[in-house]
Amino acid sequence: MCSRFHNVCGLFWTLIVCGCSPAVPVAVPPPGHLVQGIRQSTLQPGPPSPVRLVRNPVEGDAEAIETGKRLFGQFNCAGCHAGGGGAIGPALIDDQWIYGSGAGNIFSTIIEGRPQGMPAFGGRISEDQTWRIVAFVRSIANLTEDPAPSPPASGTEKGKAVFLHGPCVMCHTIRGTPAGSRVGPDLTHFASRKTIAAGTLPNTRGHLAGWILNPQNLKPGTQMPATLLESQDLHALLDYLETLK
Amino acid sequence: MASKDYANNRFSGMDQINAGNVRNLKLAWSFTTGVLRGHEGAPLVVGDTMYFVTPYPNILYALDLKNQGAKKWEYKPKLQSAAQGVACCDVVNRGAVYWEGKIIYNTLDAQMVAVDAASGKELWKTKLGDINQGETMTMAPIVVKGKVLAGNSGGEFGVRGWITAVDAAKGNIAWRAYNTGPDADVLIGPRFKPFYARDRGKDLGVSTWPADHWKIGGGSVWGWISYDPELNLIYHGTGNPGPWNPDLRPGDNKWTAGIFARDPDNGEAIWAYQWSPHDLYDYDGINENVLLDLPIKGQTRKVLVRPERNGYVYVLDRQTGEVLSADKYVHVTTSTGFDLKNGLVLEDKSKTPGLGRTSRNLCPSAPGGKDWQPSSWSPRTRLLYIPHNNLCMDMEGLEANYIAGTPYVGASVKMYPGPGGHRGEFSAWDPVRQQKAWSIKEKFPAWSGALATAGDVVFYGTMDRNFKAVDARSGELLWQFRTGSGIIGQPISFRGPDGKQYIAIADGVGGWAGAIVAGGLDPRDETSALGFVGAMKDLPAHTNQGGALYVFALP
Repeated sequence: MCSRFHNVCGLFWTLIVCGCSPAVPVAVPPPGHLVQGIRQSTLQPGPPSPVRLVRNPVEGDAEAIETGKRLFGQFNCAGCHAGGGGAIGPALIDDQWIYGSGAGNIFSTIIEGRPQGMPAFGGRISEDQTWRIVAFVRSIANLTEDPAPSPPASGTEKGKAVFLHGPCVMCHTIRGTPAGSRVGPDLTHFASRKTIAAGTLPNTRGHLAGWILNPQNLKPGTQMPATLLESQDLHALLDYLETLK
Repeated sequence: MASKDYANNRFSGMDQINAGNVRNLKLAWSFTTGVLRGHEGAPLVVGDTMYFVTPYPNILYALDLKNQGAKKWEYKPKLQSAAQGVACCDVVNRGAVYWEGKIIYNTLDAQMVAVDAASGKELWKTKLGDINQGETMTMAPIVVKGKVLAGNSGGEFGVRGWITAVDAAKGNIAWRAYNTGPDADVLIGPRFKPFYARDRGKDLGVSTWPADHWKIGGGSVWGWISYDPELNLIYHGTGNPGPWNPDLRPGDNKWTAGIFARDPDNGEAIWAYQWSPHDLYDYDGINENVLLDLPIKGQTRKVLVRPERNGYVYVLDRQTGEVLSADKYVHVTTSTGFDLKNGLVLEDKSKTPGLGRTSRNLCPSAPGGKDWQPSSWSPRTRLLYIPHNNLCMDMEGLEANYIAGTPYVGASVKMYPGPGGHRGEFSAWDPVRQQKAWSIKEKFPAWSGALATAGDVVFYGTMDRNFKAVDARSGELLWQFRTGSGIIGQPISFRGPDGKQYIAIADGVGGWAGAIVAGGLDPRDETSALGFVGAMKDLPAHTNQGGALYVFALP
C-alpha cells in the first residue's frame, strides 16, 4: 500500500527499535516500537529530536499548482475555504494553521479530515491529486518558498539523519545537533577517540559496526542496546561518526 | 416561542418601559454563555425561568429570574462536531419553544430534542436529518396542536428541503413535506389551490427542473413559521435553489424561494407561491410572515406581510396566496418594478449572472434586502419595524460539482455597500400606505431582530455593539447600551416574577454577516463567506467574538 506513498507512509509506518537502559532515572520511552507520526505540536517531551519533514513531490511546481487550483474548485474545497480567505472552514492565506502548515500536515488534513468539520477525503481522491492541492494551498499561503528539506546528499549527511532520526539520539549527545541525551557517552568528538566500548575495543570501522549491531557480543552486560540497521544506513552512520573529530 | 406569537408580530403589550422613561433603563444582570460564535437566538421566558440555547454546541441554559439569572441547570446535547463543517453561515441557533413542561429545540447536527423544563433532563431526541447530506438545523421550531414544526438548513449543500412535524409528547415524526419533487412528496393533493395559473399542474416540483435535479435542489426551511388558528393554516418559506449558478438549473425550480400554506394536521399544501421563480441571486424565501388584518381598499383583509429578500415588502391574502401589493423597501436593481397582474417582479434580464459571466451592481445582494432577522409589528403605530441591509454585489456563475456533504454553490460573489455607503438600516414600514415612515442608517447590516412594545419603544441591536431603544413613532434614539460583542440576537420583553417589565438580548457577533469575526476569516479574500467578507472588512475593528445575555429593567 505504500509503494506510491513514500513520504507519508514513511512517517506513519517507520517503527524504531530502542532499548536504552538508563543508568540514572531519566524519562525514556519503554523498550518496544516507537512510532513517529506527522508532528502537529512544537512541544515534545524530553530532549529535542529532529522533526521529520514530509516533502511534497510536486512542491512549487507551476503546472501542479495550476492543476491543484482547479482541483481545489472541483473537490469543493473552495466552497468552504473560498479563495483562501475562508468561510465555513478556516482561512488558508493567513498564518494560523490549526493542524500544521507542512506539506505532510496539509496532506493528512485532507485525507483524514479534522473533527470540527473538515471532511475526510480519504478514499475519494488520489494521492497525486492531493499533492497538487497541497502544492496549491501552500502557494497561496506563501509557504512554497520555504526551503524544503533536501534529501541527504552525501554519506555523512545521510548518516547524520540516521543518527538523529534513529534510536542513537535517545541516549547520546552530539553538540551542535539536536542530540542531547546524557544516558550514554557524549559522541561530539567520537572520531578522536582511540577506543570504544569503555576502552575494550580499538576505534576501527569494523569494531564500531559490530558494536552498533550487537554490543552484547563484544561486551556482555553493556547498557548499549543492539541497533538493527540496513547495511546502507549502517555505512552512512559510520561515515558520519568518522567525521566527528 | 422565539417569535413571541403565532402571528409573528413580536409585539409586547407591556408599557412600563415607555418612550418617556426608557432613558433610565439599567442593566439588571448578565450571563456569559461560554460560546463564542454568532448568537442569533431569542431568550425564552416561562414562569420564573429564562431559557437560552447557544450556537453550536447548542447548550440549553435555565436561569432563575427570581435570583438575578442564577443558573438552575444546563443541558448539553451529544452532537456530531463535524456538523460545523456543513453549516453554511456560522453555527447559529435561533431559539427554542416551550410546550407542556418541555423545552424543545433543534441541534446543528439535525436532531430535535425535548428537555424537561423543570429539571433539564432529556425527554426525547429525534434525528431528523443527515449531516453527510449537508443537512443541519438552525431555526426555532413552533408547536401547533401538539406537533413541533421545523425544517432543514443546507441550501448551499444541495440538500432537498423539507418541513417536518414531530409529535411533541413522544418525538415521533408525524409528517414530512418536501419542497421539491413529486406532488406525493410535497404533499400536494386535491386541496391544493394556488392563486396563479403557473403554479397549477402535476408534479411541477419535478418538471420545473433538469432531470433529477430536484433531488439536490434546495428549498430548505430554516426561517420562520406562522400559524393562523382560525384558518388552520401554517405558513413557511422555502430557501434558495441550488446551486446558486442559475445556468445549471433551467426552469422555475419549484417550490424553492417561495412560500407554502399548509394544513398543520397532515402537512397538506393548500396554496403556494414563489417570490423568485428560477432564483438568480440566492434570494432565499424564508423570511418571517407577519399575519395581520389590514384595511386594503376599504376592506379588512386577512393578510400576510413579508419583507422579502428580493427587496420588496409583500402583502399577500393569506387565504388564497394572491399578492395584494409589493413595494421596494431597499435599493433594487435586479428588478425594475412589480407586475401585480402576474404577481411577479419585473426582472432586469441584463442583470442575469451565469457561467463565466459576471453581473455587476446587483442590489440587493445575496443576503437580500433583508435576511433572517425578524421584524416586529406594533398595532399601536400600525408600523412594521424592519431591520435590514443596504448591500449590493457582483456575481459570477461557476461550475458546480455535487459531492454530498460539501458545498454546492457554483458562484463567486463580492458584496459592497449600497448607495449612501451605510450597510444597514432600521426602517419603520407602513404596509397600508405602502411606504416608509422613517428609517435609521446603520454602519453595518442590521442583523438583529426587532421588538416593538406598547410603551411605543422599539428595540434592536447593532453589529458594532449597541443595543438601542428608539421612539416607535419617530425613530428618535432614546437610549442605548454598549454590549461586549456585536448584536445579532432577538430582543424580548417579559414580565418578571416581581411584576416588572424586563428587556433581554443576547450579544455575540457572527452569523453570515459576522463570519469575518466569528470565523476569523481573512479580509484579503473578498469572496470569503460567500462574498460577505468583502463588505465587512472593518468589522473586526469594531467587535470581537463574545456571547452573553443582558437583562435590563427600570431602577
